[in-house]
Amino acid sequence: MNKIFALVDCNNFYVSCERVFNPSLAERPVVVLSNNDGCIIARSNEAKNLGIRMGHPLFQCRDLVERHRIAVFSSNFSLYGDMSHRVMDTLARFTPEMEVYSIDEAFLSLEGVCSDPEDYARRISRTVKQWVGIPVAIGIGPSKTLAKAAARAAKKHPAHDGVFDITSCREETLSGIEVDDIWGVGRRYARFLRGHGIVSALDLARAPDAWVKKHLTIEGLRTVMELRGISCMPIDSAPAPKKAIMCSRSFGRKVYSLEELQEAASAYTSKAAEKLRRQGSAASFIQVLLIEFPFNHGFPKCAVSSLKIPVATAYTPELSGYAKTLIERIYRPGPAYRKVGVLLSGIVPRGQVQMNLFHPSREGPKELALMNTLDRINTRWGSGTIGYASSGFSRPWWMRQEKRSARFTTSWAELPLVKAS
Amino acid sequence: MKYTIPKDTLQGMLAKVQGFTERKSTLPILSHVLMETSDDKLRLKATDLHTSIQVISSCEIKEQGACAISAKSLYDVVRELPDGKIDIWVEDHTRAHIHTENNYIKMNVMDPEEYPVIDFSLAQEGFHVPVHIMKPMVERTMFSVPSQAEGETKYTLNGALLTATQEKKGSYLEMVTTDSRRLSVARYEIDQPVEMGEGIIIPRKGLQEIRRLMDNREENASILLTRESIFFVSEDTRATVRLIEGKFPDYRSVVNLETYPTCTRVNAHELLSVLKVCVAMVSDISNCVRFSFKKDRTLIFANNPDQGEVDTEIAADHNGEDIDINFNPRYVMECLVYIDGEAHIYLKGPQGPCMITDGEKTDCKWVIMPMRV
Amino acid sequence: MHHMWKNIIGHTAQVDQLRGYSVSEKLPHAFLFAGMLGVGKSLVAREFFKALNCLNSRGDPCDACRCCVKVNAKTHPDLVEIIPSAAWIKVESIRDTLAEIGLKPFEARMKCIVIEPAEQMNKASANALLKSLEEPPHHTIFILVSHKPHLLLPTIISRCQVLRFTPVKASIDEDASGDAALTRITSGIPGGIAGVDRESFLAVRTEVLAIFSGIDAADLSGRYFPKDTADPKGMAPVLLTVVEAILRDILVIGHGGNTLLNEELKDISLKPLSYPDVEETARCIRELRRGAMENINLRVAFTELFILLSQFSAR
Repeated sequence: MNKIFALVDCNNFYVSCERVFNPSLAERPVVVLSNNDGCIIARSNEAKNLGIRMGHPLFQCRDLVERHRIAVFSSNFSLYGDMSHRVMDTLARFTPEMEVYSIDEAFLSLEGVCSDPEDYARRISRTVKQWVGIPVAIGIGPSKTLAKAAARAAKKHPAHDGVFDITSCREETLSGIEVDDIWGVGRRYARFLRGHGIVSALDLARAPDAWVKKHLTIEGLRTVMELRGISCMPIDSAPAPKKAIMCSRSFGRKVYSLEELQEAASAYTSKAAEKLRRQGSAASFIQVLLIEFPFNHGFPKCAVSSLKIPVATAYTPELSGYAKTLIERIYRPGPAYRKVGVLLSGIVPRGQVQMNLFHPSREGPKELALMNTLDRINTRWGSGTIGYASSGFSRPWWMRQEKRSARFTTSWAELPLVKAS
Repeated sequence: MKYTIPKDTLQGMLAKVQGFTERKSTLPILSHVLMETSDDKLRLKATDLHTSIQVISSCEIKEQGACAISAKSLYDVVRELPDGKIDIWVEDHTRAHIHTENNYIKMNVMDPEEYPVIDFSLAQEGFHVPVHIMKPMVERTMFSVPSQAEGETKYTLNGALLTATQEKKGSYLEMVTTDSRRLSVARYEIDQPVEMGEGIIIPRKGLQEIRRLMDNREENASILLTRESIFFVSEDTRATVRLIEGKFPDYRSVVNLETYPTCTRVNAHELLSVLKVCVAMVSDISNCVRFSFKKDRTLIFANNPDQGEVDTEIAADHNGEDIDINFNPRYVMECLVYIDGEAHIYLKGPQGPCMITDGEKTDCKWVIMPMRV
Repeated sequence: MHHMWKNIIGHTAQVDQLRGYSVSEKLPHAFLFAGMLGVGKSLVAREFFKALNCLNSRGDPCDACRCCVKVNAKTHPDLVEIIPSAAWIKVESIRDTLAEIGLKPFEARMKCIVIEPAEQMNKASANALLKSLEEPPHHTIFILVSHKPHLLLPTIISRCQVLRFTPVKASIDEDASGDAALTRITSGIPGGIAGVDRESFLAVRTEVLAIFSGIDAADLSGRYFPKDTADPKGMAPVLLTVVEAILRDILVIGHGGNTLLNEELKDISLKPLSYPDVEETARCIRELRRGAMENINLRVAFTELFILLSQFSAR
């Protein structure tokens, strides 16, 4: 039986999230900025039409912003994360097999769940819009790569009204897509392919197997097979636990003191530890990095320090303790620091931690229970509701987010108020 | 220096020391062998700064002396020479002349004074341990020395502690190794007491070399122990390894049988073959097998979502509470290999260490830390 | 003011301190030798190793025993020197050494690991070293040698006994040996004269000092650089060292000091000290240091420098 995949892709996801809670933005151009309000990382269609590019620094388009009354937002990842969960929860009702591919994309297997995929997809789209308020585009195809290509077409051509099935017009559609835009073809490969006369996705689909395998490796061949409608990549419904967890942020201002750096390291460690516990893992290796502000436009200097943890752990105080020791090891007074990062690796399942003869584990039943409680409270009442004092209270080094919208869905204090009289 | 020696003898001596030279070192002299005469004997010495070896042979010495000469070049040269006698002499520390009937070869040499000093004179208070005791002792413990890749920073753990004890029942030698996840202890009785103080720590590399030397089955081979060193001694060869200094962690309390209230007795061979199946099933990431020790039986369960699961029961004789405990199966297997018949598995609880012995047959113990679930 | 380490010029206090350590049983397990490049730090490190291990007289190396001979021949197995491969001391070199740190000394009493220049350890190397620096085995000491100690991590410095090496002072009575003159001329940095023999060095100094007795700057410059840009004998760095030492003395005299590197300046009458002039001359030296490798007109550049120098004279 032929496989049927759908790719559900939220339109301008960050912008759409902002619009859900601020209907007045509906027709206005909207942009969202990166951490620290540096560059533009999301644009509404209206903003795209004004010629604002992805990754454009905000200060370079101040003029446009003022002239067209563009609404500018700092990124509000707690809001986007929560909205993403809601979208995914809704999608999960439509299929038993689904792969969350990114914050705003998911592959669904439509095999055996419906007779008319296109009709079914329109129902999915309507439901998401109605329940969550986010508009989505859906592409349908016999392989993941084709579904992805179809979703692109669905977004691009208004005639499709957000849903497009590529199955019956594969060749025709592929001939209109450039190789650069194919999932799995990097920009470097695209240049190489063009050099060999392969310009459209259809050209690639028709390339001889042996040639593809030789020049693009087995991965490339897989993409080509997928373009021909032969599915090579199954839905990956249980993503493997991450092999390493990194948490790093740039500071909102220059930071000089050891205490502040340690506070930040402690805060990021506790974030990383939370992620670690969420995926049911423990870490046996910790690394911190410390990045200075570049001096005289040179390369920024970076210091790294790491240690092996005797008994793998996910216990926040223990990990923060290591992080602080490591920061102290590499700290030099003097330079201004821009960024601290914490990397946890040597990931093992939390239920399979090898014990040590000479170092008793610091994560006993009591500590496990404490972490569970902490995580439950923070899940329920919003991230950061409770934490360790070592991570700081006022956090003057925290990143700049001057134009962040309220965390409507994850913070009690910021719930939208409705006045009824 | 001037001497005459049969080609076969010199070639044999050079072959033996080849493996102990070091060509990649920053000290160029380590690629050389130290050739020296004493009375009517020729001695070849080589070292890689980890293991040092000396081979002795009688030959016709005409003039005493010493020099350091490239081990590989000399070996390559001597190998190609025709059978028969070779005359060798060295002029004032710069040139060696190698002479047979039709060949005349000159080789550069280095100053013997620059060669690292290795003392092979055997101390009088030393004690000879037969190879048949030393070899099993090394084999039964060596696997739990941390590998170099692990980068163990507690440097005393990177070797085996060898101590001697004297008890009412007799005198014993004991070898201990640990990578801090498990610990191996092998204890063997010896026929006379030996004084070794706090013992010596033999590094992993040295341990491997000593084992290799013992495997060669040389005649009259034995191990000689002194307070500060270990030698391999045979008819014509002496070798020694450089030791680790420092204090080995205190391990006595974990091998104390009385602190283990629970015991299961199970056929080692049977358990081993079940674990082999488990290992085929588990992956590198989730390398964990659950043991349920119950009255009359031991249940073994391994599960890997990507592969399948193993669920096996073997008969056992169990004393004490039921205990569910998880182990890295490889750690258990590595010691079961050395147990014939019944393995005794001692336990404290699901989070505590486990000690495995072969009953009373030998005096070897293996302690393994579980995995926390 | 003599000490027993005959291979070392000056550094009396440092040598005395190290000598004391070498005969005592209480020895710091890590040292940092800090001071200008060429001042003699690594030489002192080697002598220290000899002092610790000399078979004939511990404390005062005999330079004749097996141990001393091996150190001089750089073949001692227990004196491990870690130096940069390319631009950095790579973490592999540190790790290889640390993997064997637990091993007893091969033949010496104390094993010694010299890391030079320590500031060229990259972050990974420094990190790998930190742990071992805390508690090395009893018979091992570390000596970190650095001419830019401010680039080292504070955590590394705090684990070391720091010895600062200042430029060597030369006293008049040592003049006979010739070393003192050399020492003075190179601003007390004996290693700074590598590559140029003693006699030509002294000759250059005499010639440059002649600028104060009225010799023409262009003539002087022309003597060294007859072909304008070419410097086949590598005289530019030598001249710069000499001028730098003179400039230093001018500053010292201007402040009423009298510990001079160039005693001859005492007989020369100088103008009152002008900071702008000093600044200008120093700038000129700096630029020449940077540019000496490039294709500049050395004759013109050095003429300018000599003119600047002559202006300090009251003549």
